[in-house]
Amino acid sequence: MLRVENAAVRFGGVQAVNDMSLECPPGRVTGLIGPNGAGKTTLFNIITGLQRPDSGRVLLGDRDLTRLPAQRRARAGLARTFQRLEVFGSLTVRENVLLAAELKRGLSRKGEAATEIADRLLARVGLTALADSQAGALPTGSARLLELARALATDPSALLLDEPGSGLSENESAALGDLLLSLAAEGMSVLLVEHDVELVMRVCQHVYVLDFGELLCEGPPAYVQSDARVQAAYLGAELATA
Amino acid sequence: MTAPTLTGALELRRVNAGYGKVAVLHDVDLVVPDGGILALLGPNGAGKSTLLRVASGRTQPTSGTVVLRGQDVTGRSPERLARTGLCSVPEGRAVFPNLSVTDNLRMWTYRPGLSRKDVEERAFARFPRLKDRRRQLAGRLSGGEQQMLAMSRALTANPDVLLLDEISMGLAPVVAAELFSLVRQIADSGTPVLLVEQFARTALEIADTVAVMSQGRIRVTGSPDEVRDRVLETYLHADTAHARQDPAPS
Amino acid sequence: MSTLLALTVAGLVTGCIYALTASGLVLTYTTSGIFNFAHGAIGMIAAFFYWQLIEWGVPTLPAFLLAVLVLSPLMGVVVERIMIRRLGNASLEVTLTVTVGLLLLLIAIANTVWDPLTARRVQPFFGSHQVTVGGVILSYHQLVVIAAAVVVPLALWAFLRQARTGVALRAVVDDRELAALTGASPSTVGMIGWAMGAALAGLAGVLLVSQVELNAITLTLLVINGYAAAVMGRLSNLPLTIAGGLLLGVLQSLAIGYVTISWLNQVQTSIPMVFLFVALLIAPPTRLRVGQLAPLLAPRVPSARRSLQSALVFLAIAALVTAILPAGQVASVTHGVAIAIILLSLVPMVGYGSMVSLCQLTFAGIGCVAMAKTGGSVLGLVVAVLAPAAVGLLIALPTMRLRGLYLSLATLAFGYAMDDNFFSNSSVMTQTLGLPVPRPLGIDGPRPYLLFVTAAFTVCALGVLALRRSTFGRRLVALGDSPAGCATIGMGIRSTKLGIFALSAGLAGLGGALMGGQEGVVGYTDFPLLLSLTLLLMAVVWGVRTISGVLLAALFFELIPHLNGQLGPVGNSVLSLLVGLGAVGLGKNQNGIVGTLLQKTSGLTKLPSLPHPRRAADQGDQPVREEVLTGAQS
Repeated sequence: MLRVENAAVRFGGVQAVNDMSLECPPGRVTGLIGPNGAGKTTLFNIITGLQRPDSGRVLLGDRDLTRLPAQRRARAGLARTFQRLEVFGSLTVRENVLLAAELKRGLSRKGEAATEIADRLLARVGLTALADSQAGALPTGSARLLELARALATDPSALLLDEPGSGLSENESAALGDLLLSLAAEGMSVLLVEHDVELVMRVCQHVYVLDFGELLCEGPPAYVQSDARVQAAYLGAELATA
Repeated sequence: MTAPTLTGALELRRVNAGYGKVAVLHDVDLVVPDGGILALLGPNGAGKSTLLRVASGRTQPTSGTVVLRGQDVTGRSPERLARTGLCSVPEGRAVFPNLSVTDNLRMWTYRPGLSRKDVEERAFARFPRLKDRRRQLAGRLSGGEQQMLAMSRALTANPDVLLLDEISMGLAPVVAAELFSLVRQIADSGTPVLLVEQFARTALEIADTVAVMSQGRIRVTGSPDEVRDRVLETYLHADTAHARQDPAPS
Repeated sequence: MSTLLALTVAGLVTGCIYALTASGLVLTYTTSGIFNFAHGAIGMIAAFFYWQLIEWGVPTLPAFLLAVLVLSPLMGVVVERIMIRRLGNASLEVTLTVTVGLLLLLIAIANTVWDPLTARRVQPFFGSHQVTVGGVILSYHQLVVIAAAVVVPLALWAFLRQARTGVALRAVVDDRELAALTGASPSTVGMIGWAMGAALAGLAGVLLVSQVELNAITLTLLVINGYAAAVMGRLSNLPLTIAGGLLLGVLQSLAIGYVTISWLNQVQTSIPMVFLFVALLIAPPTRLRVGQLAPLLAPRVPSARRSLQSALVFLAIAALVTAILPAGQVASVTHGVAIAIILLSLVPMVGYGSMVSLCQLTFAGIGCVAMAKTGGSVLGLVVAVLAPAAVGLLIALPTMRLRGLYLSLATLAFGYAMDDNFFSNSSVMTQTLGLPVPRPLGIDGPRPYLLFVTAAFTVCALGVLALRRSTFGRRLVALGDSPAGCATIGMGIRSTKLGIFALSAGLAGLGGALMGGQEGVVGYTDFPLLLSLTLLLMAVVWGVRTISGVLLAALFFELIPHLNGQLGPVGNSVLSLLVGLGAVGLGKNQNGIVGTLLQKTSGLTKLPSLPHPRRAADQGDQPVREEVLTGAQS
């Protein structure tokens, strides 16, 4: 179970994330939606250790990760993808995934070899045909799938995905949805930031809605979708009077 | 789709644009009428920001032309466009966070014919709160104050066209409403405005014309009443077609 | 007590000059994002130009104004136009190599125009006039320096605060794109930043020139003091930078005053290094960079089988060449292959890992000396690798928390200090002519030794390729591409960085030892810092990501003296032109010559250009910091 407790961070005058708490239990896909600038990516950075919060805690299981640097959190079982891609552009597609698998396996010789893991995961996200291409030359959609495969190669217990669907075709997007559902079924905690509301509604069992760095509401997708406040957040109705 | 027959303050004619191999805009025709507010709506990734980048000279179109007041300005640098009279307030923080309020205002004087005094007088008259904070770094202002400072450029520059990219982003609804009423005032004083928004409802209220965009194309243009029904549809059930790529900075 | 006072005052005066040059450095760095390693060279050219004007009978004041306010800014503008403008999104090894190339070009120009063998002196301003203030004798010249160091920063401060262009300079640092949208032209502003930075370099050069001998290299390298001061100001804060310059001047003066004469030179050149390392240690850590630079084309990594085949073919050809080579050429070719090993050490570090060492030849020298001291046995070769590796570790350690540029600065300061403290130290170099170096493993005869060195190169090249194919190689490349990506897959960054730096230093050490074995005797002039810079430039221009690139670079480097001999007096200028063209061309095509050829032949399409310039990458994610340049805090 991935938990965030009362996280807050300020950039200059802007309260980017304010007193935010959420839970992301294993076995389900948890959605995180909200308009641009709502603080979703900042929250991801706080969870994964790329941004130090002003206050609040990040827990994975019963382990407090708040003080750990990013790479230790990754070793503890957190993996993520980036909205602005962070693939290793000079490596080939296979090498990107292979490296993550090797780091996870360390020197142990038991089980599946790193190369097997890499090839299996590339097949799983549908990148086998591009395995020997230079990652920096991939189109955005494929690069997102590559980041997903790389994240999976660390064998995470919690997976954070920052807009994995943008840049994917309709078919790819549908396949991504299936993949996320099967990952959750395997017992992973999946936290999904996504603008494609359709995808979110399909795969998430629970959705958090963020706005202005705060939690606006949460609940099952159908409930959230019908919530007036959510429509307001997206469409800009006057909440102040409500 | 709007045919490029009207003469507008700003026109995009059959514009294609993208980043590297990724095409974002496909044959976009858009006319910003010479007066009033044109709201450009569309789901995230529709290409709205890229369209504004092309219009302001920050991204060069791969084909097509940009016409400002009847003059072909395709390929002009953003700074030249700005001096000619195109005022563009970009998405996010449109102020220099590490410059003081007065230094920010100083930068607004690059629009020819504006003295330091003019800018400060006009800005402080409209936003007295900025005067109280004039020595502060812009980054330490509240979101609403930052947006006031950004809008003070549009107010003082008296531009030929004003381009606004998601100015209400991240602001409390009350503050956003205040901003929109300011946009209305600017438009009423004779400046044509192209307003890009995610907040469809408020935009529909203040706009004179609305264009809805998705997947790099203008889908429908018309009066707010004509397009109202199409908007929610495009937003919450974004029809998923092939290339929804928009790697423009967000 | 009065000695102390006098020394302090003298130190402050020198510190004033450091402060001035460092301010210029900070100004260009903050406004363009490019650290100008040629900053000192610009000052040096200004100083020579000033001397020339005086020689021609131009009065002091006009000569001063022409050198500082006309020639120097002009150099800044030209450099910004032809070299810097396209570098906005380039990786560290490219931006760094381009300004290093400029440095070498300017030195070559100076040596062509002004014969380095002629002694030149410049009188201080107002000759020997002096006043006594509070018991301390100050020359008029020193008063001018102090006045300049007071007035110029104040004027700079006022300019940055009050003038619209000054505000625009800061605005462009903050948000380049927004600045353009307001109507300020970022490219014009960038040019002004470089013009002003160059003027400050010129001012420092002209003020300094009567204090030291007029020598292109000495004057250029004195700027390392300025680098140390700038690091104290974290490369962005002007007041701290100025304070750093003054402190450094005083420390140096006191040290010189209180140590014995025999140690004078050593102390003078090691203090900036010590100062720089202390500044590195107290600098706050840098956050992980999020947002990527424009990707370069990565050459395909050959498989083990394929590289072995190529190696065998290469060895066969080498054997053939060795057999038919005219006797007079063997020594030079052997030297070239040894250089190729040193350049090979840049491949994993610069080519794969995007970390840049500016003192690779210094490591080579340490390796050479280490072997000379232990004898040419297997043990000697092992020590030749381990000693520089250990030294490399020590240098890299304090920079691990910081951006890659700081590592490069540390290596530069180290190389500079080693030039004077180690390679010219009589207890290191046992003979007056230098240190005798044995041929390793007792290999005798020039041709067998050439074969041996070639075999060593081949084995090392195979090793480098094998390294690239290993996990460690992947780590290395990943590190250069995306530190944030590395962290999120659980990869510790420091061990990889330290590991490769040590390994690369060790490999350079081996190359140095083999080169020493060829020379027989090595001395002061065999491992100078400037030659490290030349080698780096060659490697990056030819293609530092491939073995063939560095091999060609080494051969070309070896050809230079021959070409020089062939071309006669114009040779030097032709070569410096080549160097300059290389640096300019690199700005245009960052893959290097071999990389470009590969790109053309393999039919790979160009990589997509990313829409985000470096600065915009984490906009909105960027906390408000203290105000850049003026250091004011809200």
